[in-house]
Amino acid sequence: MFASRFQTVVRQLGGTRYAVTLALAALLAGGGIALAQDRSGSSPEDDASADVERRANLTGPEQLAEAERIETRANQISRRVQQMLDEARRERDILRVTCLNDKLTQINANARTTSTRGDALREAVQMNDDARRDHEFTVLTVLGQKFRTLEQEANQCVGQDIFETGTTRVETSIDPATPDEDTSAVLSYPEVPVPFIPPPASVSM
Amino acid sequence: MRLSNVRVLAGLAAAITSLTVVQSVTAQDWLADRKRSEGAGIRVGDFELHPGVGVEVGYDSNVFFSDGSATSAVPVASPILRVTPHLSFSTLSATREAEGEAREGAGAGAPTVQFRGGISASYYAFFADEARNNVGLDGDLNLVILPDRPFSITLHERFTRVVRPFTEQRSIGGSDRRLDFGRNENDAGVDFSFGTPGRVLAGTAGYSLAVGFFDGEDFQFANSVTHNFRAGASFRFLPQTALVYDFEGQYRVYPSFAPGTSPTLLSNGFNLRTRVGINGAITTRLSLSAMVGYGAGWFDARDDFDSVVGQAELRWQATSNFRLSLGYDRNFRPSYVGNFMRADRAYASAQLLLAGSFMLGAEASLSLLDFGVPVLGSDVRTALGSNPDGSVSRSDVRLSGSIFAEYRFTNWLGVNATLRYTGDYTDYRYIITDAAGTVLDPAGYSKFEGWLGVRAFY
Repeated sequence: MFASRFQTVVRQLGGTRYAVTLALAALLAGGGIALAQDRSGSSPEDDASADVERRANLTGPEQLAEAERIETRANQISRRVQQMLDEARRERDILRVTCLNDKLTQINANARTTSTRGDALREAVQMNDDARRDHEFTVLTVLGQKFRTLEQEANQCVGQDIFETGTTRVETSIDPATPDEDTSAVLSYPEVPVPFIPPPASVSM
Repeated sequence: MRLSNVRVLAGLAAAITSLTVVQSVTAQDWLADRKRSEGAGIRVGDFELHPGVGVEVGYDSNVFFSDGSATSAVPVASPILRVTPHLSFSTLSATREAEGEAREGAGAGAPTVQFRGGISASYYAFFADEARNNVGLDGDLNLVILPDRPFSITLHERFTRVVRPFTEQRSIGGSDRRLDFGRNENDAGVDFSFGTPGRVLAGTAGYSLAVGFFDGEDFQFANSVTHNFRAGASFRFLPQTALVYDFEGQYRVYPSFAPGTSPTLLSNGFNLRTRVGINGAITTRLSLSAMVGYGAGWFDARDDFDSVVGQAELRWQATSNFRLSLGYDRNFRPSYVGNFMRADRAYASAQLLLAGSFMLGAEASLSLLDFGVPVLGSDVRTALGSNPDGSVSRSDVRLSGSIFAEYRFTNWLGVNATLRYTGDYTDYRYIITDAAGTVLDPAGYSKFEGWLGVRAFY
């Protein structure tokens, strides 16, 4: 609407060639502004939807290739988290084991779904069922995003070390005025200065 | 400030806090306490030497501990000259190391071996003819293997020879021979020490063998061999206090004793003493030692002993230069008369240091002494003496007091004076047969001593 009014104004100015040029420039400028506004105001969820919609426009073979990439990626993430879990078990880090185990369970469940959906996609492509193909591919794309989220969460699993304070160090300060005594030195009894021995003359008794 | 000044001042200050715990058989207090007998010292490699000499003139009002009554030996008073050279040696002291004089080739940490040793000789010249001139000796060596470690071993050896008379010298059979009062004792042993880092918990166990022997033929019967077993433990806590425990077992035999050769019965026996208590600071000015326990002595013949033993001492560090101590202890120990002697003693002592160069100390004690019944060595059924009421048990009251003062002109030269009184009050009288026949000789005595001396030490 804004562009047609602009063209009307230009015609009224009598310059057709100039009018077309200005109109194109205005459209480009307006579109650029609109695109910039969209991008700056979009959420990750919006991006994901746009991504899914964009990928849904792929051809069947392209969707199959993308599906295989998602499946491969799912298997890689599963193996990697499994290794992290094994390491946590070796370190007997129970908190990290629990967290990674939960993530791995979700990853494996989603991987099985991915495999099933991949089979369904291949079947739809073979049957040239575009509607079903697009649906299965959309599900696979969402699953791919789910894998990224689970991978990030697995990386964020924290261990005991975050709760541990490390080697305890105790610093003791004693008032300098405290008596400086060897407390382990037990008070001893005094020696008898002079032994009690009767005069030797009494030996004659 | 030069090292020598630091050491001397530190020594004086430390002496103020340690005077009350110095225990020694040496006659001179300044010699018994290393902190006071050592000056700057001479460093020789990783060792240090501390030579010194003291020259004193004194007066003893009663050299032979006579009662002074008509039936006792005549009291002999005598001026005395006492000359005491001494030398102590050790590995480098903590003071030197703190001043940066590290051991050669030493890294950080405690050394593997530490030792201290010393030797002194006191020549006594009695101006009274009745007393023998003689030389007392004192030597000791203390070797610590792995000091300041969780486990360490200490080997120690000490020899002492005391020559001053300890009883009356009476005319025997009409002769006026002079007795030899030399007493010698050698004590050697080993102690094993255990402790946690920081010595919060610490313990020791050890053994030593002491051999005591007399110079004079008249006292050979009293030669002894003593096996000492000891153990101790302490648990230290803030501010500077510890729960302490100690045990001491002592088996003493008299190998030279034989009936008829001794005026008094000597009996082999085993003595035991064990105590538990607290030791350390109460406040920044007050500290306390309090221990209580059990003591017992079992002897081959005559009386055994068992009773509560204990000790309590309260110390008040009024200022860094003045210290006052009050105490009471109850103990028992083997005795040449009556197998054992139980002592209840109350005492007080005070030390004052003025201007870093004048030291004044005073102490007094009152003891109640109870003995097992003394009997003749030749007949265990016959009393060695008696009281005026006819009873044969012996009880004494002993009073002693002394004042010591020392002024130091320099870091290595000082002049000192000592006044001392010792009195033993008892009704007990030995039954004596001598040139005058059989008499009842009171066992008490009273004597004054005064000493004035100069000493140099480095």
